[in-house]
Amino acid sequence: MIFEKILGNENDESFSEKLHHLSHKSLVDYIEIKPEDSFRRRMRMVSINGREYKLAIPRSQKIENGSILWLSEDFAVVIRILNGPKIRVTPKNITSAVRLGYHCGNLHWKTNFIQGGIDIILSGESQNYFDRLKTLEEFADFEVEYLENDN
Amino acid sequence: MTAARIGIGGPVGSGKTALIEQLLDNFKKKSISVAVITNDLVTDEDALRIRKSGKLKEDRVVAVQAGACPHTVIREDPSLNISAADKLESKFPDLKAILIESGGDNLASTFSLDLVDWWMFVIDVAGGDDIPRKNGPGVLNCDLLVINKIDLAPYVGVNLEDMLLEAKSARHGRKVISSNCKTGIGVDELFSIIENEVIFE
Repeated sequence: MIFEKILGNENDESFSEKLHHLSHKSLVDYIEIKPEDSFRRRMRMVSINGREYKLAIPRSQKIENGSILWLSEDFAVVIRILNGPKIRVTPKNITSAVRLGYHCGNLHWKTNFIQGGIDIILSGESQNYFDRLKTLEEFADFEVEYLENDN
Repeated sequence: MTAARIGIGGPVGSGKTALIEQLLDNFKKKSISVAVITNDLVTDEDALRIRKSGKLKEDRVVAVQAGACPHTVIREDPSLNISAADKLESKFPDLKAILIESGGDNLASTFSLDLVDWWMFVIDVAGGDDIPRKNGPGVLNCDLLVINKIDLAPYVGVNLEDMLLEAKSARHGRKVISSNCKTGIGVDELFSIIENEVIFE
């Protein structure tokens, strides 16, 4: 089965009741996507029930947590974006914050800004990130915390 | 359905253009409609080469001039390439795939997934058997690593078997294949992978 467009999100009022009804009958198939793959618009996917699907959505669309790829009277397919491991870096002063922000950008890391720090979204080995952060210790004062997958 | 956008990156001289030329034969054999976008620094060199090869109609080969570091137009701001791909899709509605070749770059070069659906990184044995051990983002993050010019291994003191093992180890089991564009070794396997992963024919 190839999904060529996103129909909506499970949180949309127009879909939520129908999905709720289907999920009670175990008629919703979920596809779990790693955070680094959530940027893809075309890929093969396997659902938690082991069904194989293909994604080929328009360039104007992007999958999100809760994206609905299929919805009929008796079946639905919904995306779940996994929360992968993160490294939380917390600068101790403004100068260190600027250095840290530049460093993450220069290395093209995917990040989320949080209150007082930055969450680095990991793609691949965490040690690669720790190694690069180590090189910054001489120039910036910051704390590093590894956060496990919290799904 | 949209055309699959496939990135081909790698260092200068690793054989990216030669690999595309080989792949074009496979696309032709399977009658899969394809176009190519090449990226060069300040010339149309690679596009001219592919047009001259006669493997694809000339108007299906488009050149993008990066003007600066090649990775800037495939990652930081890929709008030039996105625009070129959009225009190709409008002009040729039957397109199933667009091959986007980066300008030759360093091991840190990666593609934005806003530009491509899937991408490979091409290195060659003559570039040194230590490349996989250097853990460059291009080598680690690509969907497929291609080790090209394997026929040259004996002449440059490279043990190909070891190089492949080290590449697989660095990529933690993600796909690695070897190729020789002079004889076509590995090209059918590469084409099958592309077909299976993103063309969905």
